Amino acid sequence: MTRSHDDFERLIVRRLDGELGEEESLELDRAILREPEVRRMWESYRRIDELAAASLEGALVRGAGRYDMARLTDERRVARRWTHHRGWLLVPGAIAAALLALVVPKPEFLDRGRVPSTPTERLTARSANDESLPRVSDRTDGLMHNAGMTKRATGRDVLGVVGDDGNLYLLEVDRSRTVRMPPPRTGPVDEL
Amino acid sequence: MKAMHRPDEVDMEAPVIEAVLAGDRFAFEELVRRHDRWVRSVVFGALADRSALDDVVQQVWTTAWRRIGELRDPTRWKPWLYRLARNAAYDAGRELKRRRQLAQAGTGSAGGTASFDAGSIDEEQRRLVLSAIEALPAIYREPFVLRHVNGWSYQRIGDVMGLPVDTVETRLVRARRLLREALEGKVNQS
Repeated sequence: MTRSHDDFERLIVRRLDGELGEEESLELDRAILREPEVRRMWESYRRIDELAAASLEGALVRGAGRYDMARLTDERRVARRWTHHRGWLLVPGAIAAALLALVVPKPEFLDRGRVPSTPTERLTARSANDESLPRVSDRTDGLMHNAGMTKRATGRDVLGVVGDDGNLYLLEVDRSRTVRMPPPRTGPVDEL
Repeated sequence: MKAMHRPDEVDMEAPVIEAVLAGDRFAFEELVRRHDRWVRSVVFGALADRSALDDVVQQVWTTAWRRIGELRDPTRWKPWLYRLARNAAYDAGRELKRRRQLAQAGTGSAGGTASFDAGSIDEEQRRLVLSAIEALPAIYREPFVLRHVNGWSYQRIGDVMGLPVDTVETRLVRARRLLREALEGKVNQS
């Protein structure tokens, strides 16, 4: 198999980098002996590599390791953040707690005879009576619509809140984004 | 020649890293002593400016000490440190370029980088080769410097730079070709 100039160039570079296998090495040796152009390329690259290694050594070694260690470690460190290792447990932990709160019935002795007085307790009473949870609507909807803006729902978060009675309650928070409404079309639609 | 840790190999630096994570300054000094060479090669490969090399590398180690607590996986500290060094070098390069442009606008002359004393023909040739290396595009210069300073294999270079082995090889071939073209007739054969 005859190799191209580029192929031999690649073999030469791989030999210089210590990546050449035995068969390819023999093939390259034969080419260096038989073909003047390959021999010139080999000599040229070998010389450049020698000079490169020497020049880089000189450029990088100067100053190496001569640091003011006290200054290097003088900066206040960021503490090892537990969230990187255990933060992921928060989400499944919260979900598990929420599911437990839904499944495990609340002991009656906790609210027997009590009249709901705190907002949390009133929420509980409503949900126990199958009343829908109150929703707070955005009172600026009408104003924004008139100004050419509107709200688009972008998602919903579920927050767990521990109530005064010790139970976990879920709050649904709707997230939205204000966007500009497209202007109404006034003329004919262009045909493609 | 120091080899880069691969995920399937035991990282001999693990005790040192754990000690550093626990806030041991002496362990950090040991880490600097052991790995300063390849960090300098990364910075030089990305920055290609000898005059700023020491300052940038010092800054890299300072940042590494300050932020090592952010390391998500302690076994991946070398790629983390590589990215830190590389980003610092690129930031410094942009700042240097901005300052030189300002200086050039003010004085009308271009600034220069540090130079060798060309005391001998060999010294002169080394200076020429170093200038040619600095003039290489960064994507070719970085693996070239890592290979020549640290003696890393294509696999190791690929691991730390996040590149396939074939790409590393291609870039090293291209780097040699560009150097040969730049130094045509200027470098004597041995």
